[in-house]
Order: sequence, then C-alpha cells, then structure tokens
Amino acid sequence: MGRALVLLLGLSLALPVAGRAQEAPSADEQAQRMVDAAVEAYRSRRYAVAVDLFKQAHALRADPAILYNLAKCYEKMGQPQEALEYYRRYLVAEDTDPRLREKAERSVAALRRAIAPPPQAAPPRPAPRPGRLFFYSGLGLASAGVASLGVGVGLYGAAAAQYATYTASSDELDKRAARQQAQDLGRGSIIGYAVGAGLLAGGAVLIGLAAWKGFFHKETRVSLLPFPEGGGLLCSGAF
Amino acid sequence: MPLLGLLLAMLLAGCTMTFAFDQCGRDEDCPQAMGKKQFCTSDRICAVGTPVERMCRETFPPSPAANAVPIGAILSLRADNLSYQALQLGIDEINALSGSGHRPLVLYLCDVSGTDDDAPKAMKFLARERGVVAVVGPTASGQVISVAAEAEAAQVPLVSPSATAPAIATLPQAGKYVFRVAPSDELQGRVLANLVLDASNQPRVGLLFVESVYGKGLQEAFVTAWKAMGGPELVGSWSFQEKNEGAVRNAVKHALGTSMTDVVVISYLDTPLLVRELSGLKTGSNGTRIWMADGAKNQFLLDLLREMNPPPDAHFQRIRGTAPTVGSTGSVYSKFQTAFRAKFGTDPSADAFAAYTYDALYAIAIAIAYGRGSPSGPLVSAGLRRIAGEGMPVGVGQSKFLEAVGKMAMGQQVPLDGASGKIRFNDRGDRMEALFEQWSIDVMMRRFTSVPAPL
Repeated sequence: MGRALVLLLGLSLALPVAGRAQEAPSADEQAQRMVDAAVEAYRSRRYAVAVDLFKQAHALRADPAILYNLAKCYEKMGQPQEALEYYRRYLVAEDTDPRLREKAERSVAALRRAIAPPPQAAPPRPAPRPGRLFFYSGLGLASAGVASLGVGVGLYGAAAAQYATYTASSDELDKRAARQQAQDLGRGSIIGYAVGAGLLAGGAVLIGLAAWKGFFHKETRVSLLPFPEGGGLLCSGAF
Repeated sequence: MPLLGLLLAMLLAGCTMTFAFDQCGRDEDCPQAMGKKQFCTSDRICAVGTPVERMCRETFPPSPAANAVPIGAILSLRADNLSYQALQLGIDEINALSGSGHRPLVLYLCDVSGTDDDAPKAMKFLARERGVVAVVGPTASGQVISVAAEAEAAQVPLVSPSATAPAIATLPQAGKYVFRVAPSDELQGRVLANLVLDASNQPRVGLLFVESVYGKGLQEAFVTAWKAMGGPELVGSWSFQEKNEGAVRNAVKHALGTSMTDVVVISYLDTPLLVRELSGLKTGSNGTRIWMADGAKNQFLLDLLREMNPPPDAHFQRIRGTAPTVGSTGSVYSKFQTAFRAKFGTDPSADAFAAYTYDALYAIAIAIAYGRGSPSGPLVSAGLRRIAGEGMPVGVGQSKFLEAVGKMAMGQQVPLDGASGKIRFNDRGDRMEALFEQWSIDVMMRRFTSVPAPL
C-alpha cells in the first residue's frame, strides 16, 4: 500500500493521510478526497452517502481500511449481512492494522450472534391417537393367539403320527407308549387351541375397545369382498 | 373375531378328540395280527402275546426294600414251579444278608407259558418297565434265542438255567448278554446216544422230537453222536409241533406202527400227552424202551402218575432219561435241598433245573457286586464274565455269599461251586463243566431216581 492510513479513533473510521502536492489530482488524491467526504458524511450520520463515497474511493484505491469503513457504515445502517461481508473482505486483505483487525473480528462475532436465527422449537408432536394402547395390546394378544393355535395344530400333527403308530403296532408296550404320547400331545394341542382362542378373543376385545375409543380413522372400512376363489375381508383406510 | 377364534379352536380340538384309543373289551374283540392271536388288555389295547398284566404278576418279595436291586425272571410256571421256588429261596437267603455291604434284591417274575411271543415281550417289559439289571431265564432254548436281541438292545444280561440248545452258543450276544448255567445239548446228545447204544445188542431205534430249537438241537446232537458211535440207521424219525395235540398224536401213531427196541423222545411241554399216548407200545422183556431227556423230567410227568389211575407201572418203569444233574453228593446241593425242603415241604430233585435256577440267581447276585452299589446291566454282564478262572471256587449259598460278593467287588475272578456243580463261564457264556444223570421213575414213591451217567 502506497500510503498509511490515519485512524480516526473518535469515529472509529480508518482515514488515509493527505500528503500530496497541489498539482493535477492523481487517483490517490481523488480517492483521498472521496474518503474525506465520506468521513464527513459518516459524521453527519449520512451513512448511505458515506457508503457511496467509500465505494468510489475504493474503486480508485484498493485500501483495506476503506473496506473496514464500509463495514462500519453498513453496521450503522442496520444491514448486518452487508457489514459482515465487508468485515470478511477486510480480514482476508493483506497489510491491515492489527488493532483494526481485532476490532473487525469482535464486530464479526457480535454481528454473527445478532443475525443467528433463534433456535427452532421442536415441531409439536401430534396428539396420541386415542385407544392405541388397547389396539397394540390387542394386536399382540391376537398374534400370540394365532401362534398358540399354530402350536396346537403342530401338536395335533405329532399326536396323529403317534396315533398311527398306536393303531399299526401289535406290540403291547410299543402301543401303550405310543398311546401315552398321542394322548399327551393331544392334550397339549387342545390346550394350544384353548389358549389360542382365548388370546385371540382377548385381542379382539381389546381391538374393539380401541375402535370404541376412536383409534381407527373415520375412513377405515372393513368389508366383505368377493374374490374369484372365494370371500375375503378388506380393511381399508388410515390407521 | 372372538367367535371365529372359538369356532376354529373347537373345530381343531374336535379333530384331536377323534382318536379312538379303546380297541376292545375282551380278547374276542381283537383281530389277528399277521396270523397271530391278539389279546385284549385291561386298558383296552389289542396286542400280540399274553398281556403283561396277566403274564408278569408276581413280585418277590411282595414288599421289597426301597433300595432293592431289581432282577427279572422269565419262566414257564406250568413247568418251572420248582424253579420259581428255588428263586424265592435264593432271594430270601440273599436278602437276609442285606445290610452287610450289599443291597437286597427284588424279583419280578413273568410267566411265559402262554404264547411264543411272551418271552420277548416279557424281556422288553422287565428291561423297560421294571428296570431290571439281569434276568434269570428264559428256560426254553427257543425263548432264549427269541429274547437275545432285546437283551442286547436293553443291555440286560440273562442267565438261562435250562436252555441247552447248542445254537445258543452261536448267538452274537453269547458271552455278552446271554449266559447259561445249563450245559449244551451237544454233551447231553452224546450221553443219551451212549446209553441207548449200551442198552441193546441189536438196537432198532426210532426218534420222536419236538420241532423247537431245543428239540431240533438235541435231536441233531443225538444223531451226530449216534453215528459217531457207530449206531445203526434209525428206523424212523417223527417230529411234532409243540402244544399241538393233533401233531403229537399223529407222530406217536407213526411210532406205534414201527417195530423198535428203543424210542428216543425229546419233548418239553407235551411230555404228559406223549407218555400217555406211548402207553400203547409193547411192554415186557421184548417191549420198547423209552428214552427221554431233560425237558421231560419235570413235575408234569409225576403228575401224570396221579392222573392215570391205576398207573401202568410197567409203562412208567421202562422210561429212562438223561438230564444235566446236580452235585447231589456235594455239600452245596445238600444244603440247597435241605433249605428247599424246609421252606416248601417238597423235594427239589424232581426237577434238576431247580438247582440250576438257584445257581443262576446266585451267579447274578454275585455279579451285581461288580457294580459296587450301583449295578447296571453292562456291569452285571462284566461281573458274569468274571465267574471264570482256575482259582478255588466259592460255594453258592447263603454261607459263602458275602465272600463271593467281596471278591467280585474287588474285580477278582470268582469261579463258583454251585448246587449244580462247578460253574465257570467260557467266552461264549457257556458252562465249562457239566454233570449228567440217567433218571428213571420210582412209580411207588412217585418220584425220580437217578444215577450218574457217563460222559
């Protein structure tokens, strides 16, 4: 940079020093005049004028101090984004005044805090659907019921196999053992059916309670539909 | 939905309840199975063979100790009553010593005199349902062969007191799960052939034998020995099925139509019928001698003397027979005989196999000690294999029992001096030594008499 800048502490502006002879004004001299006018405008709180003048001056002389002054003007004008932009440009420029840099950094931090969006509040959770405890408990019970019925069917199959052994054998001890196993497995299958039916019924009651509490959406429909192979249940709607 | 579930459950439960377990109310309700008669059990099962509730009813002692070691017995009570009494005697003697370092015994008895399927069924029942560690019996050779596979499967050794068929030694289970204290009929066939050959200068010999493992085995042994000794061609050989009256009468009819100096009869359960039918043979100095074997020497024959009134003395007096015998002059047999008489009031000598049964029980009871308080079938089998060796035999009976048990518990070989003579098993489970007798019937006293027979 060709010339040093004078820091106007009272204005917190950085000003270049006039030091040239009264000859044909050079670009520097023109820039200096514009800076002087901009400082004047700044002092009289005509910040928009100051901004124009600083920008013209900076176009004539790329002095980083002008960038700092532009940031200050925008700050005064309540335009923090623009102010931040000029502070950043100042801070990346070379041959800057350390004290000004320090000030610029503090200003940047303050501006960031000022313009940071307030923390977003969590979107309100939708209100729990009424009767959902009943519905899911009922669903669980019904599933367990179906599983228990499945166990019952499996035990019945094993009992039937033992029964076949019982009827086919002519050995008393083998027959007695097969019969005992068939009876035990048969009892187990009946218990499986009974427990399954109970759980299924309990599940259905709970799902009914959930419906009564309004768990199902209004559009939910349960209807019997004809299928080519026979009948079927169709359950549609929003759950 | 609940209704659907309930309906489904009822439907499925209905399927389960369609099983019809009751098959019969009486024997006549049961159809034949593979040509065999089926019986109706009290829990309404149709099954082949006598139902176990009818076959295995006896437990001795009736109220066994809680820690008693279970052993089984498979006998035909129609023929083996003295054998069962010998078992009771032995159990009582052994249990009287319990608390002296060995556990008492409990005996579960199955009477397999009903059908041919009873013995394997009894073996299965005793092993599976009663958890026996060893079995005394069966008595017939065919029965031993029929239960051998089950004995091996259940790992329960058996000791037959009277199965003498040579084929038993060839069983794959022989020496592992099949043992016998009865000597092989190879020896008896030789003894019988020797006696018949000595009895006549010009023998015309016919042969009647039961078509059983025992009958065929002894018949073959006799014929082999007969030929080896230079005996003339047999004038006839007739066989019959066991417990088939028509077949027995038919065989006897052929024999009666043949001129013979001697007829050799190898029978077991049909002995009374045979003897009755053979009364038609000529008696007197030119009459036909009747030779029988061990299977005929039992209470049936003595009972026949009472049934035939008046008994044809000459007919009974011409009957001779051979049988494995007992060491009647030995102290062990004397003690057994004395104790038997004292307990039951009868003489066990009517059936030589009573003493053999007594020895079989003691062999098992001593072998049980090899398990040292935790007997099992395989350990008893290992113990039975230790009844061998060249050492001083230990006497069978109450007085020496604890000594034998002590030696067995230490893993020593324990040859026995039994009521039936010295007992050592070879590696096929066969007895290494045997004594034979020639027996006859004392018609007046209605008992058997015997003399030692040369081997």
